Amino acid sequence: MEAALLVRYEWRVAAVRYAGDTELVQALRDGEEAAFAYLVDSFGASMQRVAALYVRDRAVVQEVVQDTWLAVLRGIDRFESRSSLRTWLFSILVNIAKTRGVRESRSVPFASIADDPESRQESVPADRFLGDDSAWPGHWAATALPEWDRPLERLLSGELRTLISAAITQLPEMQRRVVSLRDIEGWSAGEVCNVLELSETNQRVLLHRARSRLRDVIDRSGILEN
Amino acid sequence: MTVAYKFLRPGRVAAFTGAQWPEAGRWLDSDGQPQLCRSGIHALKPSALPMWMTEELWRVELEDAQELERGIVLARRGRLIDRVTAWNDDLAREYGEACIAHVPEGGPPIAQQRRADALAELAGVRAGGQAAAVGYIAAKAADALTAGGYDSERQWQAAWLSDRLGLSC
Amino acid sequence: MSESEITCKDLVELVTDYLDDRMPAEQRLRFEEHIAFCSPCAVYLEQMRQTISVTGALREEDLDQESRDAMLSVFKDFWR
Repeated sequence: MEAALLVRYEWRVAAVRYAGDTELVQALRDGEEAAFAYLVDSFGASMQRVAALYVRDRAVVQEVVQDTWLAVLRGIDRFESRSSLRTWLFSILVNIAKTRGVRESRSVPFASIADDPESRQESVPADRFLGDDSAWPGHWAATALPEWDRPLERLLSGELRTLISAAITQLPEMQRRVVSLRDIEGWSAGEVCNVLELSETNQRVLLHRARSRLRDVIDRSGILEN
Repeated sequence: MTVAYKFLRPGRVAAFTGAQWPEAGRWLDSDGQPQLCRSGIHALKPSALPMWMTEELWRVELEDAQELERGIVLARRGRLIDRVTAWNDDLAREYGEACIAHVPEGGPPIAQQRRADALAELAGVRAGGQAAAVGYIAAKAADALTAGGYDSERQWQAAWLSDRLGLSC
Repeated sequence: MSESEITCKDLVELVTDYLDDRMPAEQRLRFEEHIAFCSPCAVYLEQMRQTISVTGALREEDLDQESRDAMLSVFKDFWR
């Protein structure tokens, strides 16, 4: 417990000292351990999650992350600040993860449902809406949708967290990657498009499908009903 | 300076952005160039009132306002003048009843169905989105009776509100 | 009005565009106009926001001690 408190304190001190990328990059080039520790504390957990979007085996995830750190240390002298340090670091990570992922998938394939962004899909089953023969074509058939009860508070109980985590792992691969990078890691649409090599439209289609699916999972579970 | 109207949620909260408006008299500034539905202060001409109902109706003063389509006014800064207290649950109910009464009974099945739906929506109506729903359903009922019925019904609804609320502009 | 009117069925497919602010202003206006009178769609939009929020809460910043030590050791080995 004490070690964790110390880490938090050191991180806060570092955050002040390395307020911009320039200071941080210089400190890394100079071999300052505190600068590297700051990077680890800032991005380490996220790097593990992002690597896991490409490789399944926990040990391989760790290898991908370690190889990324090594590449960062080796490449920091050549880093040109055209992108942010964070973007650069994660592009390295994704490249390494992709290569390992390809190797891994030859033996253990990811389950994947055909997920063509060009094809039409429904976020909500068509029978939830009134038909063309009704007085209200395209309107909700039900008069009301149930409002969810304090979702963030319910998350603490664990049941909702488990439900969502499981639902995310079951998404088709590209939907899982897009929704994880956008909504868990908080990347911008532009960053996701760059790293996943998607057009903006395709990225948004995938995001939409993933979010619609997750909403549906929460809805069907009844966990958040009053 | 332009005077217009604004519907807010209880406590002077903007319906879509959740922005908190200051008390009457204090200016609210927006960042950057005002853009329809994206940035800037949005307000309504009386013609648009039926579409945007919430619990509170306010008169608002705007600086450098531009009037856009569909009764929307856009400005870089604005301040609340006073609350239009005539807009309340009782008037919302009267409005709903008036909207329905103004649509003739009978006509094709869809028109009748929609009129009945408006009546059903009237139950328990208060100042807010439900009143807007009654108006919408009634206008759609009118639309099933005559071509262009929706738009003319909305105009009538806006005029009714202007009159009963004592709106000037 | 009817030609460009957004129905509920249309709206549920537009929610992501709306939240990402990738809609022409005209369409955004009609989207919000629909939300203003349609309570189920207003709830649906809020559910989507809440879904995003709940997903975001899965993010945990704290690295386990073992992983942290392993990462720091890359640095130590590099600079030896």
